[in-house]
Amino acid sequence: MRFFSDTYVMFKRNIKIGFRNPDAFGMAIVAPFIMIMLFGLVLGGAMEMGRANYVNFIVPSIMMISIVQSTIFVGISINREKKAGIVDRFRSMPIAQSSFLLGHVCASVFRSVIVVVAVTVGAFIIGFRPEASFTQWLAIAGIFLLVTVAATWLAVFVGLVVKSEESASSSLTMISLLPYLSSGFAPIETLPRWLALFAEHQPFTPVIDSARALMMGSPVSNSDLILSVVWWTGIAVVACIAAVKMYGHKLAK
Amino acid sequence: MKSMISVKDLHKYYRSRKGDHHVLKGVSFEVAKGGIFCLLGSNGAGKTTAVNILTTLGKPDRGSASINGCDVVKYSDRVRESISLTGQYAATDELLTGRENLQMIADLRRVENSKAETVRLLQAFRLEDAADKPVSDYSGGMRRRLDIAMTLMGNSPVIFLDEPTTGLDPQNRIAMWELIRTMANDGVTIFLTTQYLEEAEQLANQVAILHEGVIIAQGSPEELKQDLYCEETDSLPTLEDVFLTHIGEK
Repeated sequence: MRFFSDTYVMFKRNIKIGFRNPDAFGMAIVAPFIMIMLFGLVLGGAMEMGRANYVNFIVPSIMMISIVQSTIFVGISINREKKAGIVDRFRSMPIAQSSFLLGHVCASVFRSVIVVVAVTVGAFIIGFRPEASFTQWLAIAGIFLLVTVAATWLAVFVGLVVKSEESASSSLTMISLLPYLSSGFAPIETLPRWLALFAEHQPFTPVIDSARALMMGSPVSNSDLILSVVWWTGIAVVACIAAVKMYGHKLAK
Repeated sequence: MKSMISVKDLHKYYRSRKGDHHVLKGVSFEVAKGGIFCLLGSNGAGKTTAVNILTTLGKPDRGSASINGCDVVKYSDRVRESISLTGQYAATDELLTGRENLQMIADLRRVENSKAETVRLLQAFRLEDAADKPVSDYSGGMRRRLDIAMTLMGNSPVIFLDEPTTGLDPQNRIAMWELIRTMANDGVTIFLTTQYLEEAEQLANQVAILHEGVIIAQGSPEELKQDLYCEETDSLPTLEDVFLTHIGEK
C-alpha cells in the first residue's frame, strides 16, 4: 500500500538525518543527565528527605523534560524543510500526503524512546533505585509513550507554524520548562499558594505523580492516572489535527 | 496540437490584514507538448504564484488550470503524477548523500531499476565523485544540479523550473541552459520562470511576459521582436526592448 511504503521511506529518511546530527542527539541525552546530577547530587543532600530519596523523587520530572527537549529537533527540522522548499517538493509529488508528517512523527518518537532509555540508565548509575514490578514498568512506559506522541505532534505543529528555526526551538524549550513548575521537584504543599494552584492543574503533574508512585511500587491514585490519560490524549489529538490542517490547507499558497 | 498546460483567466488574491493583494489578474496561456515555455517577469510579478497553482501547491481564487487534461484543483492527485517541480531553493537533504537523496525520490516515485537510474542521473549531472558525500559538503552549483536530478527522477512529462539559474555563477548558468535544452530534446515539456531576458531568448520556444499579474505579451521570441520591428533603422529589437516597451518604462 502506498500509504505504508511512503511513510516507511519518510521514516527511514528522518532516522538517517537524526542520527547524523550527533550534537542534537547527544545533547538530548547529556542535558537531562547533568540535571539529575545537579538536582539529585548537588541539591539532594540539602533536602529533608535525603539525597537518595530525592534522586528517586525527581526522576519522573526529568523524564518529562527530556521527552519535550528531545522533540525540539523535529520542530526545527520541519521548519527548515518548510522554508527550504523540501515540503513543497513532497507536496507536489504523487505520494500519500500524510506520509511526510507521519514519517517525522514516527522517527521522532523513536529517537525520544532512545533518549528516555539512556537517561533512565544514566539515572540508575547516579543512584536512582526504582522498586516497580514488571507490570508497573509497562504502565510507566505506556504513559510516557502517550506523552511522547503528544509532545511530538505539538512540536510538529510548532515547526509548521512559526517563522524561524529559532522560534521553533525557543517555543518548544518554553514547554520543556513547564515540569519545573509542577510537583516534580518539591511536594506541592511546600509551594507558595498561587504557584501550587498552577502546579496542581497543569498536565505534567498527574503524569509525574503517577510515574513516581509506579516507580516506587506504591499505590497509584486512579484520578492521577485518568487525568494523565485525558490530558495527554487531548493534547495529542488537538496537536495532530492542527498540524495536519496546517500542512494541508494553511501551507497552500 | 493538444496543449499540455492550459490556463484560463486565473486569479489569485493574497489576503492580509492590510487588505487583499491581487497577485494574478486573469492570466491565460497555453503550453504545447514538448519544448520550453518561459514565464518572464520581474520580482513580484506573480511567476511563483502561477507555478504554485500549476503544481497543486496553491489554489486559484478564480479561473482554471489543467495539465495533461486534468484540472489542477479537482484532480490534483493525477496532476502530481505527470509533473515534477524544482522550486527557487535547492530542496535537498543536507545530511543525506547525493545518492541517498536520489534514491529516496526514486522510492517515493516507485521507479523501477532505481539503483541504475540513480547512477545514470549522478553521471549525467557530473556528481559521481561526490555521490557518497553529504550534500552539506556540496557547492551551490552541485546542489542545484542534484536538485534538478531529483526533479528528473521518474521521467515526469512536465517539468517546472522556478528561476533555476537565480544565484548561479555564469559558468553554472550556461551549464544549466545546456541541461534544459537536453531535457527538451528528450521530449519533456518545460515550464520555466525567469527574470533574465537573455535566458528567455536563449531557451524558450514560447515566452509570456508577466507584469503585475497580467500577461502583457506572448509568442515566440521572434514574434515578440517582429511586433516592434523598426522600419527606419531596419533593425530587430532585443527581447529587452520588447520587455521594457511593454511594461512602459521606456
